Amino acid sequence: LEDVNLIKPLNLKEVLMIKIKNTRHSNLYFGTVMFLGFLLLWGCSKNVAPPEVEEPPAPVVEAIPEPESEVEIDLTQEEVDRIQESDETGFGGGIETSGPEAIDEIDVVEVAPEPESEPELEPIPEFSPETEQFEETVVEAVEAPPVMDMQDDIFVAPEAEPVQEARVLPDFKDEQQLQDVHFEYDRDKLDSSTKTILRANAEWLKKNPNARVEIQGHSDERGTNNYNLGLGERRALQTKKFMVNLGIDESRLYTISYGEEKPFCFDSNENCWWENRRAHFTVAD
Amino acid sequence: MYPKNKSILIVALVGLALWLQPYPTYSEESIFLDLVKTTQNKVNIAVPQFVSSGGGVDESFSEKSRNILENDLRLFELFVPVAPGIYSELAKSEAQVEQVNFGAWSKLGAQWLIKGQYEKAISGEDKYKFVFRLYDVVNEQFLVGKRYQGKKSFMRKIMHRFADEVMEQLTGKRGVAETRLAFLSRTRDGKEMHAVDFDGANVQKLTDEKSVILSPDWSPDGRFIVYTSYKEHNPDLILLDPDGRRRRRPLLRLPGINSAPAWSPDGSKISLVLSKDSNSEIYVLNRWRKLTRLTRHFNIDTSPTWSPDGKKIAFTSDRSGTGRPQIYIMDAVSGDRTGVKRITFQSRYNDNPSWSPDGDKIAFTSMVKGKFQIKIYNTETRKTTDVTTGPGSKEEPTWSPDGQFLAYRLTRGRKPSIHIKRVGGGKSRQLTFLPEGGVSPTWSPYPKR
Repeated sequence: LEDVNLIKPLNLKEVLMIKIKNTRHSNLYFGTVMFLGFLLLWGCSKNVAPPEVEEPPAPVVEAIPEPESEVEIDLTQEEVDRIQESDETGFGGGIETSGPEAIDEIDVVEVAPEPESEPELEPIPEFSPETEQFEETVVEAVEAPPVMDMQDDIFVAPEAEPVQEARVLPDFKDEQQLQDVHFEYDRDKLDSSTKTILRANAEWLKKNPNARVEIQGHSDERGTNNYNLGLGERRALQTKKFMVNLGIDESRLYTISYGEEKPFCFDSNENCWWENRRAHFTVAD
Repeated sequence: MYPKNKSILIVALVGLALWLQPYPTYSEESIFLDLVKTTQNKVNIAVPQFVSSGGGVDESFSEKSRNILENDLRLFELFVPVAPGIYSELAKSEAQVEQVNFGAWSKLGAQWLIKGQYEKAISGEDKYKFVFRLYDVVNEQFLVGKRYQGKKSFMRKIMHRFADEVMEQLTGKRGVAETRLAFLSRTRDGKEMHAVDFDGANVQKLTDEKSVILSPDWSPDGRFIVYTSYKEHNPDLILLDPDGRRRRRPLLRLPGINSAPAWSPDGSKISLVLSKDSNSEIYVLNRWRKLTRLTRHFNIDTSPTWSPDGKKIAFTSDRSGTGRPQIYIMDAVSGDRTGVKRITFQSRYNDNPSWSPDGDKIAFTSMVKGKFQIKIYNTETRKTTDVTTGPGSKEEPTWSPDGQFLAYRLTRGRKPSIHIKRVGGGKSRQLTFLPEGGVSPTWSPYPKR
């Protein structure tokens, strides 16, 4: 019979402690909200990052929970000690107020094993599950996890330096007249047959002075992705350099490396690998 | 002299006795088990059926929950779940969770015992409450108790969290059942990113990229994944919010490569590879978008990874021979200007360095007999050891946040998938089973709790 009752007194005590905790929290909670509100206003006024039209700015309500959870955790630790110390004094505040404290989807409560034998190790609630507000907050957190406003994030271009300019590239298409060139395994050197092909490609470019060319560097499937990406880049750059030396205006030549990501041939043999270790030309007018 | 010696002897004997204790996991001063020892001495743990403590009874749901918890413990490879059939009678006889016949459990071979209760919350339709108590049966001791409450859909997360709690009781280090891994899988148009729980369940698609994407890295605060995408016809750096609305934002779109990003351990910087100035060089991008160039070499430099103190960066370079990439360490501020230290010598092809959370190990990919294997370089002993051997090619290692596991890409035949292996453990386990395969894993940090 005693065992049956083990949990119930626990809950009562917990409720008591939650109330204590909540009273202690209320001031801090208010302060935190004010602080966050200030931060938000400050952030909004300063941040002139390029607006994304389709994304409305995150409402204040959404922004609050996240930092709050940190406050919550810190506080809980302090509370743990304080409550443990003052447990016997019987705080009976009974104040019902409580903020939307718990942000975590899961509410975690320490449970004591045999509360009657170890009264000083009473369960210490980390959150306050019994209050209405808490439950609402949890539901919110579950259904719509707090969305961080990326505009406020660290990786946002400051006002003085707007989002980095990217190249606006034309639509490059394959051109029958321009041949691929191939490379030795793990090399970016151009051999004599490669150079013959590149000279022919350069002649075509001279006859078509409006054409702009993208040189794609590729590798075979062997090797690691990161290294192959670098290798493809070097193949494209070597090819470009040779073309420039043949008198092609550098501004007409773009390079891009695909590493091993866009194979031409899908088998695992030397013929196929040779096909894939290539610099490929595409053209736009 | 004699009494003095005697007292020393007594102290020594007591010390020896403590040291030789057959089961020293619980002693209050140090509950921390030596992980190396534990791998040879796993804990037999019983996880009997959860008991309904009121509200509705949902046995299939509670059994599903129990299986997730028990499986997590098994996957840690430090626990051996006792077969439920062995203790089902005993479990039934102990209708009350608080009631534990330690002697009886011990006789059945259980060393630890988890008693679980569940309850459908009175208010709210979809909420469940779980109460767990963990007992050390051998020493007749209560170790920890937790109560969780959440929506039904959070059941998996709750089971994972308590499994991690149990792990923490054993090793002093939180378990990783609640962590997730992101990885890439091949599609017709390129690749897409998915995330999966540590136990291989709960696969979610994170991107709708429809183009080649590369080298994801999960931020230390868990809020972002940064990766490279060809969506805008250039390998650009993209920031993704993997939860919430999954917003995607270009971070850096410099001409040429913007790839192989690696968050600094404090999350304030990203080291990455750019080819805007030359061929592939390593830079650091700070929170104000200022770039610092770290390498200056006409050969390829790539794959940066930070030491956990943020002071050093290990990276790959073929500066000692074109086509023969090796792994080096440099200063994270001054770069290769102040010198580099080469750490790999055994193979002609090494890449993908990944610095362990504890800082004393660097896992990497190494070519052995035409295939890749995962190896570990110990920064203290300067010795290199094998993590994987045998058939198949293994690449792209990533550490679990507790430093106990490595996940990597394994390719056998044509289709790669992600595998997880306990460092110093036995067999690896296949984590991903998507028909599109799995490559380039990145392990999430610990979620907040």
